[in-house]
Amino acid sequence: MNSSENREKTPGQKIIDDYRPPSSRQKAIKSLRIPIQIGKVIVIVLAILVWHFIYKWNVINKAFIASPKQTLDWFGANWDNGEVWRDLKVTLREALLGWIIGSTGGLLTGLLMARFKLLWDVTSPVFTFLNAAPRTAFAPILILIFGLAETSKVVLAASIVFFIVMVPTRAAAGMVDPDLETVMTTMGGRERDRFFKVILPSVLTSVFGAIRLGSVWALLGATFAELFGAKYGLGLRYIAATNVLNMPEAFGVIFIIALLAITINGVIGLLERRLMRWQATSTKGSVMVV
Amino acid sequence: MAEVAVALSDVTLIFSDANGDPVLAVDDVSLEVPQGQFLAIVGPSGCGKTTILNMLSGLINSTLGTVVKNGEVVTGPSMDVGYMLARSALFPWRSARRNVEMPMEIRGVGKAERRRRADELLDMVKLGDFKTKFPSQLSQGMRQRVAIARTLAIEPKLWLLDEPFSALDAQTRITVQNEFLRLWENTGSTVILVTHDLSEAVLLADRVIVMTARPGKIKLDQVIDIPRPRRVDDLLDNEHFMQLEARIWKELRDELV
Ligand SMILES: Nc1ncnc2c1ncn2[C@@H]1O[C@H](COP(=O)(O)OP(=O)(O)OP(=O)(O)O)[C@@H](O)[C@H]1O
Ligand SMILES: [Mg+2]
Repeated sequence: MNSSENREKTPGQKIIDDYRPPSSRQKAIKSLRIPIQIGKVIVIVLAILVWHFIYKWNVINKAFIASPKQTLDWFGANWDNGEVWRDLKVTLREALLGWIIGSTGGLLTGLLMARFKLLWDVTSPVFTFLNAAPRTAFAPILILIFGLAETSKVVLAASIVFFIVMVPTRAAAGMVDPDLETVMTTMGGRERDRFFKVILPSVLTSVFGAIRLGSVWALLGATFAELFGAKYGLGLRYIAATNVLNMPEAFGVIFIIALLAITINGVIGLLERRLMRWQATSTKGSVMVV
Repeated sequence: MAEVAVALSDVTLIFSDANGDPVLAVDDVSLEVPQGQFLAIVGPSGCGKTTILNMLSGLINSTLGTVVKNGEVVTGPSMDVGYMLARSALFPWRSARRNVEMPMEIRGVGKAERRRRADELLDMVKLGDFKTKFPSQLSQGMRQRVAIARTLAIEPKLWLLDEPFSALDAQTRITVQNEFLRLWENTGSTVILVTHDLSEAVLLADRVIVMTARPGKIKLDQVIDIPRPRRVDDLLDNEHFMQLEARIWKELRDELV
């Protein structure tokens, strides 16, 4: 296109003609992506090196930590160890159950409390106390009550997740856009429509983050409870390993738990992005030329 | 004389404010709107316009007097009323199409039929290419057009419009107003439009009511005898339109001090 052509066009037309996707800024960001990836790898390598030399130079007593190599070797020797897999399965099951029970309970209770204000006014002291109490400290008591098996872990995980979800749910249910409620009512929507088509989607939108956070806490809660006594589970394996100073296994288990948390968080994050794609702002989408 | 669509008789509405003190929002208003009329209500802020619409829609009940719609006393919301607000109040998690489907969903219209009708309505408001877009991906004007399509899906006998065009910029407003007129003019339904924009009232309506400052009473009831079909942009320099606007403005001005 030459400049004499431009002069005959309206300014708007000129902008459209001059438009080159993607913009130079987007390109700049894109061209940064590869250095960022390289940077990440460098940082990870550095961290492992620091770890390695902490071990090698005796910064921390060698009896209490494992080296990167020892940890890797442990993984090599145990990746097909049925007992490790069983422990992983048990902990994962406890965490998932606790997460599902805790979020469902938190969501329902939060909605109920928002709907019946009087109920909240009456029960809030108890909830406030339970929420403030150090619930992880209940782990030994829960094991006494519910036994060594999985139930006690599910209960602890659920009780942590419950509050993580209940508190924001109650708040979100009170902040539903009143215009949406008006429109729903004037359309002839019944109580059921108001709940399923206005309140629930609004609330889920605001508490999705809390539900995702809850999944990681469920895993931590389950593992933590296992430290105090269990039949199987990663927490039990971990405490048993540290008791006999089997540090490669202890470090290996910590890695398994961390990787598990990252995976769960990632899967739910993907789901969240899929469900929340309506939130995409216009700046995220491609520029439209009509 | 056409059948009466809506009648307010000696309607008074008293709110209680945060301290429990009474607030007289609407003071002894009587009003009859024949079926098929386009009525516009103008008046200073806080004079009770929204409150009148809320009583007509059944969202609130009058303190004194009766509100009658299609020969029946209004006691609660009903499905033949279309209510539109200044903000489009679309469901942000639903696509344009699923927003338009909403009133049909509530009535239990089947899925295929719902979708067919929603697409038809979106085509009518010229958003055929945006059916699957979410509200966050649409402009203000487009969102308000989706809201119009959604209200059309109700097939309302009565439209209650609370400043539905006020959030739009001047040019978009004219487009959307024309769009609305074109869609409404052959439905035979009644419209009650609340607006702060006097030109809008005169351009669109068959009749304009001016209300006094709070507590709201009817101050002027003016027939707008501009023939239909109308096009907003054609009327802006019309002599008769300007005369009518000037006459009503004189009445309204006294209330705005
Ligand atoms: N829920 C309520 N509780 C107490 N007072 C109210 C309530 N709703 C409205 N009012 C009062 O009633 C009066 C009329 O309100 P309304 O919303 O009908 O005014 P309006 O004419 O629509 O004003 P605007 O043009 O600014 O929208 C106002 O003085 C307002 O303060
Ligand atoms: Mg109002």
